[in-house]
Amino acid sequence: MASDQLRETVVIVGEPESYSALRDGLAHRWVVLEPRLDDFGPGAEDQVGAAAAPLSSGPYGLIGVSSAASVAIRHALQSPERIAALVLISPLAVTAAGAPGGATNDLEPRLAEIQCPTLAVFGQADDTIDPVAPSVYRSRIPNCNVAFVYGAGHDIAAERPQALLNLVEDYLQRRETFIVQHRSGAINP
Amino acid sequence: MKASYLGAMGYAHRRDFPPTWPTPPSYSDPTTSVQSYQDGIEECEFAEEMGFEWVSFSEHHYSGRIATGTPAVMAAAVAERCKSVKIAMLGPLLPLNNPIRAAEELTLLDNITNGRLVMGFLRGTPNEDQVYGVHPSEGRGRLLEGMDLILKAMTEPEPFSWEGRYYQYRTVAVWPRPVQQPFPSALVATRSDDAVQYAAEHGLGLGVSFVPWEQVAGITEKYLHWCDEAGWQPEPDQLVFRGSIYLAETDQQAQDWFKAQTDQGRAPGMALRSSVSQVIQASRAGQDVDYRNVFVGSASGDIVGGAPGLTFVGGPDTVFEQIKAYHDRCGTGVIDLFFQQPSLTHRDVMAEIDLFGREVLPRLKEL
Repeated sequence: MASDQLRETVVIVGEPESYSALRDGLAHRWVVLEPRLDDFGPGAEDQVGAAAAPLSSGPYGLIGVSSAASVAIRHALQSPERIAALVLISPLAVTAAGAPGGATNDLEPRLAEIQCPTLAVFGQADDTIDPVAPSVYRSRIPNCNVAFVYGAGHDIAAERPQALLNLVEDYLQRRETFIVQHRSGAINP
Repeated sequence: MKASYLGAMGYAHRRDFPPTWPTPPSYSDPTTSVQSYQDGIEECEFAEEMGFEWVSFSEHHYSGRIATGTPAVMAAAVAERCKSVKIAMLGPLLPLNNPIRAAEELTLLDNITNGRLVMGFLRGTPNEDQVYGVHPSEGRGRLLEGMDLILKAMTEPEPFSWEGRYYQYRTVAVWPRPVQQPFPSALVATRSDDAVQYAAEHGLGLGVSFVPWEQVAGITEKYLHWCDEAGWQPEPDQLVFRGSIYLAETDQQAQDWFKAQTDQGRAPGMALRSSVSQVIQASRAGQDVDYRNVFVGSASGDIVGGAPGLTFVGGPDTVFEQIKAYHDRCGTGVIDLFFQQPSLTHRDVMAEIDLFGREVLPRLKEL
């Protein structure tokens, strides 16, 4: 559509059923691309780049959900000039030794190489995430904010859909400046 | 078993207060007020000297009976005078307060006391819902989320954002970190199943107040069951009961005093007008109330009983047995005692602390 050419692009990687509410919400403002990936292992980042290149004229927002967060991180490392902002939702790229969930601890040393603003979002009650993982993302990635969504476990998009959408939308639009709430608290002038 | 002295810091002339809440500020004379706080601090010091192992503070508003609306300020002052007791904040009323502010006050207290802080989380009594404009129906949710946020703020080593149902913060990085790791000794003061279960699931203690031991036993049974399901058992210090006390040399003297209070209409505690209590309870339950009808009427009448009675009253042997029942039947490990009954003077309270320390406390410590 012609109007799509004026809108910025967001690329989401993950199991589609794990973020459907987020996708639908973002589609009101962004062109949302969902590359079909064979798996989330090494090499999948090439498929992301190939899918996004012909459809996005400028840098795009990149979202990786759960196990696919590793794909998003590798793509951000591979093509830093193309990523405007990175959002990792319930990422499993840093896990305790021997933990299930597609452990990819080989990425941990490379987190420091991520150049774009990054938001890592965790469900406050997510017991599949290593408790130290949020602080690892925050301390290793040079420009990273960590957010906890209260009342959610691993599947944040299903458990607190509007809260997640508000958070991600705000970050994609304003990046680091999202730390200042954009809404006034004055309701009774 | 351990004893805790509730540092109520009651206004010296509290016997003259009307029985309803709030107490008008016109009753507060600065000279009397200054002396009342000095007296209250002296009582805490003497309680420590007599063997009490905790001094506690409680957030209550708009009343000179428990005159610590900002308990962290009072706790900090007493902590500088009492150098060995645990400083128990039982506690901040989480639904009323900014949880980040509460976390900052608590971690600071844990630092200036070098790890002597005990923190208790609670919702508060219905009248207190009115103080900071929080809707009563939100109290339960704010308590549960507030506890999670405070514990996260104390344990997360890096700055973070919080996207809650009631609280949203884009930058949380509480300083200083608590001395006690991962966080200070903590309990939930509650009788509600969801908060009791929260305490059990998070390894927190349980505080119950102002109800008979039969009721405490039922709550404790559920708590211990949920602790067992969570794979742990609480220590004795994690089972706390708060009650009111009047201790005399003999049972007869205690009964005479109690009868005199009743005859003069001086029941311990205070009450809300039933119309106010009604509207708050309905709001807590999420029900619609026609406020136009509720607040019309006499401001002086319509008093309800409501005030908690004395939990422990008698001579030393009787009071010991009354407290022992909580230990034996409920597993209570710390008894938190409110001595400042409305008609008592500072001198009366000091005499009671002395008597308790000599005749009751040594036996409690052997339990």
